[in-house]
Amino acid sequence: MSDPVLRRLPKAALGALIARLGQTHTVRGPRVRDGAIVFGEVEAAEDLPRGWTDAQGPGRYRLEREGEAVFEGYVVGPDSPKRAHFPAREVLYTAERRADGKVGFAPVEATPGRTAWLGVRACDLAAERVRGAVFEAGGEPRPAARGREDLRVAVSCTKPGELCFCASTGTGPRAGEGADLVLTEREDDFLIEAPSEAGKAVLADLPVEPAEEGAEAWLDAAMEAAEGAMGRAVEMDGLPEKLLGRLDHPRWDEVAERCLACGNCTSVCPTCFCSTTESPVAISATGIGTVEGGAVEVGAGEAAQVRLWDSCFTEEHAYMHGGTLRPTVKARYRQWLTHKVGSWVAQFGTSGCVGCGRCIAWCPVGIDLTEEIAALREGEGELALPVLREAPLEDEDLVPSVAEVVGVRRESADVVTLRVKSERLAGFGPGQFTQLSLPGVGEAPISISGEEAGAIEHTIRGVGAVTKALCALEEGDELGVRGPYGRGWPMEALEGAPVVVVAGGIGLAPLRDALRKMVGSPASYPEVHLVYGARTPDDVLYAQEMLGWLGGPHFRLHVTVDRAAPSWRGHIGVVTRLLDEESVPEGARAILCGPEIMMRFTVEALGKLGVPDERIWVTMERHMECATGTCGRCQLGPYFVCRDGPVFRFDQVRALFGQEGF
Amino acid sequence: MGAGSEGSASGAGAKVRLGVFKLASCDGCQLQLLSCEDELLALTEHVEIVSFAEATSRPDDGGPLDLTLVEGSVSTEAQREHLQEVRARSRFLVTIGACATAGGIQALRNGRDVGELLRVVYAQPAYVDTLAESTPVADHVPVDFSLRGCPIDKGQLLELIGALLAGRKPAIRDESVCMECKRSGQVCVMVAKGEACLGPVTHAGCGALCPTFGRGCYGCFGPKEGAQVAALGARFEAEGMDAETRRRRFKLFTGWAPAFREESER
Amino acid sequence: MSVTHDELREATLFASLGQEDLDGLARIATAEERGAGDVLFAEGDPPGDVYVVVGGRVTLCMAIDGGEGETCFLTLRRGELLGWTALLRRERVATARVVQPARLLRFGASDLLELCEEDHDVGYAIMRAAFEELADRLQHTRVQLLDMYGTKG
Ligand SMILES: Cc1cc2nc3c(=O)[nH]c(=O)nc-3n(C[C@H](O)[C@H](O)[C@H](O)COP(=O)(O)OP(=O)(O)OC[C@H]3O[C@@H](n4cnc5c(N)ncnc54)[C@H](O)[C@@H]3O)c2cc1C
Ligand code: SF4
Ligand code: SF4
Ligand code: SF4
Ligand code: SF4
Ligand code: FES
Repeated sequence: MSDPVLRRLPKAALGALIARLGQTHTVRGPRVRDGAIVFGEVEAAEDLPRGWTDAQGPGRYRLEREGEAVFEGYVVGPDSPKRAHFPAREVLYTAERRADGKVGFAPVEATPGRTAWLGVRACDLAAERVRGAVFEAGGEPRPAARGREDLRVAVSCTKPGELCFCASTGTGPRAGEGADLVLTEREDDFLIEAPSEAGKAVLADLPVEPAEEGAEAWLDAAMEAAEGAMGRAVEMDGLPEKLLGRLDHPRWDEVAERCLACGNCTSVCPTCFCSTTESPVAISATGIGTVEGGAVEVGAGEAAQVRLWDSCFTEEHAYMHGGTLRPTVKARYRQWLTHKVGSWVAQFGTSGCVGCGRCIAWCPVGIDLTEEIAALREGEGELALPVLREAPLEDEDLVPSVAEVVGVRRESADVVTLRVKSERLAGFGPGQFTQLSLPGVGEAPISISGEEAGAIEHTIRGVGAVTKALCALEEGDELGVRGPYGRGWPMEALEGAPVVVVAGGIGLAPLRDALRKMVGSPASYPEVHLVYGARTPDDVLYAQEMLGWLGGPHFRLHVTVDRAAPSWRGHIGVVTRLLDEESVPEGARAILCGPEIMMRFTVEALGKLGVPDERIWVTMERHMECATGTCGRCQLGPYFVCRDGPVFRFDQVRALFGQEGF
Repeated sequence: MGAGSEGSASGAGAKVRLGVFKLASCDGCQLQLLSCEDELLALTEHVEIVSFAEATSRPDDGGPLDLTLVEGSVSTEAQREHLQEVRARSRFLVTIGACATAGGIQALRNGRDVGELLRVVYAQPAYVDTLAESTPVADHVPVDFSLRGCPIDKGQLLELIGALLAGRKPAIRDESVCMECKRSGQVCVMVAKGEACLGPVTHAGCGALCPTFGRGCYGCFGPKEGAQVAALGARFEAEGMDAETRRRRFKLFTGWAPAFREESER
Repeated sequence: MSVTHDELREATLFASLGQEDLDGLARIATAEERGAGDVLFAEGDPPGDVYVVVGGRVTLCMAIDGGEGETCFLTLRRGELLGWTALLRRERVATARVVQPARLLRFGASDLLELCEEDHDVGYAIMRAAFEELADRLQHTRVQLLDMYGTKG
C-alpha cells in the first residue's frame, strides 16, 4: 500500500540517499557511457547524469547538454534491470560425462544481487512484473532469486520522451507498484514517498521534511500533464484478436522490406525472455559463462549448460531438424509483434509491452511498432484467443537428474528404444515427454513410449547430434533426464467411443503407451483402430508388439508403407488412403501423431468421414529448450507446445495449423 | 547452421587426424590456431597433427584426415588442384577465415583487370600464374563448415574442434553481430553515434569487436543468413551516406559474398 | 461372369452414373477372379485392358536399377482404377500383381473409349471421375516424395 504522506527531499540530500542505500546495497543508477544513459554503479550524486537530455527518435538516440535536472531530462536508455535478473549469458549447471559412461550435474545457484536500483521508471517496474509472471508460470526460480533482495528507488516521469507511450499501456508514468521509494523531481527538490516497508526504513534515515500543502495536487496535475505529453500513443484494446486475425495483412510484407531481422528490438525490450542454450565442453580450464560479472569456472573436460538471450528474429529460434519454420523476415516480425502485444495476453494475462519505446529507438532502421500497430488496426479479421493461465509449475530449475540406461533395443536402422531407470519420471501420463541430455552434447525432447518393469522407455530416431548420441548409448551408461512435461492424450475423453489412432513414422512412439492402455482395457475402449504409415516395412516400429495386440478382438491394425519389395503383402501408399468407413467408424474419436503434412491430410480425410475437429487430437512439435514455458521457443500463437501441448484438440489449433511461421 | 554440420569427427578412441592447409591468404588465421597454446597442448591428447606447415616439421603422411582446416582463397590453378587433393582425403572440411569462406581481400581485385593489377603488384607478371578471379573454397569443392572472420575468432576455432570431439553441433550461431553486441551490453554505435555499422547483416562470431571499440562493424565475418543488405543500405543513404561510400562499406573484406556483393554493385 | 450394377457402382469411376448408363457398361465389362501372385500386366507391355478393383488387393511395382529389383509404390483396393494408361494407348509403366485374391472388372480400352464417345455426358462423367482419382493419387505421390516420415517424427 502506498503511503499517502508525501515528503520533500532537498536536492542536496541526494548524496545522503545514495550513501544510505550503499550501506546495505550496491547502488546502480543512470550513468553516461558511450553516448547513452545506461545502468552503472553509483557512489555519489555527482555520478548521476545531471544536466543531460536524450533526444530520441526512431533509430536514433543522442545525448545533449540541457538544463540542470538529475533525472527529469531523460527517460530510459538501451539498458534495463533485466540484464541483472535474467543475464544475457548464464550457466545453469555444470556437468560431467566420464569415460565410464557415468554423468553428473551440479546446479549453479543464482545469488541475490542486493542491488538498489536508483532511477528506474514506472515502465521498468512494470517490465519486472511482466518478467516475473513469465518465469513464475514456468517455475524458473533464478530471475526472482536474483532480485529478491533488491531495492527499487523509482522516479516518476514528469517529462516523458518522444518514444514513450506508457500512458497507452497503463504502465506509467507514475511509479508506485513494485517500488520501495518513489521520487518525483522538481526544480529545487524531490517529492519522495515510500510504498514499502523497506522503503520506509530508508526514508526514516533521510533528511526529509513533510511536503508543502498542495504537493499532492501538484503531483496529480504533473502526472496528468505527463500522460498528455507522451511522444507516442497506441490503442491497445483488442490487439491480440486483431493481430492474430490479420496474418495476411499487407503491412507485414511492407515492414519485412525494411526489417533487418537483427534482433536489436527484442534484446533491448525489458520483457522479451526468449533464450537458447549451449553445451560447451572446456578443452582446458576456462571460465565458460559469466554470471553478473563473474565467470563460472569449469575444469578441463567438464561441460556446462549455458543459457543465453535469443530472439524470434534469429533463424535458429524456430529451427527443427531439417530447417527453420520461420525462414522469412515477414514471419519473424509477425511472430514478434503478435506475441509482444497479442498472444502474450493469452499466455500471461498481460500485454508484453510496457510502452517504454526502447525497441523504436534502438532499431537500426527505425521501425516503430506504434506505427505498425496503427496500420494493422486498419484491416479486417479477428481471432478469438483462449485464456490459458493455470497453476504455475513447481520449482523447475532446469537441472537434469541422473538416470541409468538399463536396456537398449534396436527397432530399425536409425531408431533405438532406450530403457531408462529414473524416479523422476514416475507418474507420467501417455503422450507426455521428457528432456534427455548428455553433458557436452545437448538436450532433446523425447516422448515417453512406455514403461516396463519400472523402467521408462524412449524410442529415439537418430537425426542430429543429440539424438544420434542418445542412440549410441549402451546398457549401464548414464544420461540426464528432466520431466515428465506437457499434456498427453485425453484418455478419459476417448473412453466409450471407437478410437482411431493415426500414426506416421516415429510418431508411433508417443502413441504407444496410450495404445497399450486401450488394448489392455476393452471395457473402456471398445473399438480401437491403429492406422500406421511408415517409410518401408523395415521402418515399421514395434512390429512384434503390435502383432500381440491383435489378440484383442477390439483392436484392428491397418499398416501402410511408402514403398516395399514385392514380397510385402500389405498396403502401399499414404496413410490417408486407409481411412474409410471401416477404419473410421461412426462416432469415432481420433488421435494423431506424425509429421504436420501427414496430420493435415489426415484431418481433412477424417472431416470427410464425419469426424469434427473437436473429436480429433493432434500432437505438435516445435523447437524446445526449457520444456517449461520460459524459453519462448516452442510458441504456436498463444500456446507453448511444451506446456499447453504437445497434444492439442484440433479445434484449438486449427486457425494456426499450417500457417507459415507458426 | 552450415551444411553437414553434425556428426563427430572422432573415431572410437583413436586420435583425430588434423590437417591445416593454406591457399592465398595472410597466415593470420593459422596463427590464431597457434595462439591457442594451452588448448593445443590439451588437444594433443585427442588430436594428431598430420599436416600443418607452420606448426610441425614432420612430413605429411598423405593419409586420410578427420578434420581439415583450409585457409585462404583460390587464386591459381595449382591451388585449385591442391585443394581438390586435400578434399579427396578429408572427412570434414572446414574453411577458416574470410578469405577461404568468401574470397576475402583477394576478392577485391575481382572486377578489375587482373593483368593490370599484376603489373602493379608484381615486377614480372609473366611468372605469376593466376586465375582470373580469387574465389572462395566452396566454389571448387564441397565445404562442411565455415569459420568466418578476418582473422577467425580463437573461441570459435576451439568450439569447432571441441564440438567435433564431443560429437555435437558447433555452437556457432548464424545470427547478427547485434545479438552479441547487445548481450555484452554495448551501446549501439549506429543509433547513439550515427556510425555506419554492418552488424545487423553480418554473421556473429567476433564478439562485436568493432562496436566495442566504438566503431561500426566492417562485416568481416560475412553476411548472416538472409542478410537484408539492401534495407541497411537504404538506411545508410537515408542518413546521408553517399552512394560511393556505401559501396565501399559493403566491399571490404567479404565483398565477394553474394549478399554483400549485390549491395556494393548497386 | 456377369457384372451387376452394384459392382459397377463400387467403382469411383462410375459412381455418378444412372441405371441406363450402367447397363451399357455392364455389356462391355467382364468380371474376373484372380489369385495371389497373378500378374495382370507387366511393365513395358503394350497397352491392354483397363480394370476396376472390386475386392482384394493389387500392387503396382516398378523395376529400378536396370531391372534387378522391383519397388512397389502403391496398392489398389476396392473401387479403384487400374491400368488407366491403356486409355491413352501407352505401354504399361508398372507391373500389376495380385497380393490378395482379387475380383476385378475388366474393360477393353477401346470399348470404354467408344462408349464415352457415343454419349458425351457419360464420357464426361467417367473422365471427370478418372481425373479426380488421378489427382488424388498425384497428391499422395507428392506427399510421399516429401519423404514425410524420413526427416522428422
Ligand atoms: C514433444 C516432442 C516429442 C518428441 N518425441 C520424440 C520421440 O519420441 N522420438 C524421437 O526420435 N524424436 C522425438 N522428438 C523430436 C526430437 O526432439 C528431435 O529429433 C531432436 O530434438 C533433434 O535433436 P538433435 O540434436 O539430434 O538434432 P539437431 O538438428 O542437431 O537439433 C539441435 C537442437 O534443436 C532442437 N530441435 C531439433 N529438432 C527438433 C524437433 N523436431 N523438435 C524439437 N526440438 C528440436 C533441439 O533443441 C536440438 O537439441 C520429439 C519432439 C518434441 C517437440
Ligand atoms: S515492445 Fe518496445 S516499447 Fe514495448 S516494452 Fe518492449 S521495447 Fe518497450
Ligand atoms: S517470441 Fe516474444 S518474447 Fe521471444 S523474442 Fe520474440 S517477442 Fe520477445
Ligand atoms: S515509458 Fe513512461 S515510465 Fe517509461 S520512461 Fe517513458 S514516461 Fe517514463
Ligand atoms: S524491427 Fe528493427 S531492431 Fe527489430 S529486427 Fe527488425 S530491424 Fe532489427
Ligand atoms: S517455452 Fe521453452 S520449450 Fe516451450
